[in-house]
Amino acid sequence: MLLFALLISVVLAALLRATTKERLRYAARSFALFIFLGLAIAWLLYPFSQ
Amino acid sequence: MEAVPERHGIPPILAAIAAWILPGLGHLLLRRWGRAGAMFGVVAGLVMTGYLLRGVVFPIHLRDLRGDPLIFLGGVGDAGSGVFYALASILEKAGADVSRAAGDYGTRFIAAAGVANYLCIADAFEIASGRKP
Repeated sequence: MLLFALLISVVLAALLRATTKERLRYAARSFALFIFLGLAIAWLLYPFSQ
Repeated sequence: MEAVPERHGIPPILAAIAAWILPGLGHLLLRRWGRAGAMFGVVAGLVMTGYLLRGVVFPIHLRDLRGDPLIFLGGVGDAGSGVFYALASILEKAGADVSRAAGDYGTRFIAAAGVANYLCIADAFEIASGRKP
């Protein structure tokens, strides 16, 4: 999940932002959101796996 | 005053085809070195991880359009990674194995690589046509 989030964040940042500074900020934010939402959805679905 | 995007000497369709055949090549022809490296690294990283996890590489058969359109769409998605898709049988020698969860993750990585490269192809086309700086 970490690798997937990192690689997709990099490609989105490279495509959607123009400057290096903007890209770094976008990639960091996108990566954090991927991880946060992934874990949040996993915990939400956890009761259904029992 | 709005900046006028630079026009390049490369036909947009050529940039798009190059970007499809080898991820990052379209941007390389357009002298976008950083973006070219990032595209190649990301697509290669995704697809090779998918192959190492022994994900499924869907074939493209027109007959699947009637029988199982999702298989056909999977093939179209996977084919976005260009040379990595063409060399799938060489790069993934052990073949797919979705009897374990890792194989299923691999399938998603391979599909994500193809879709990410479609975005790169569109980006290369836009830059070459002068619509994007």
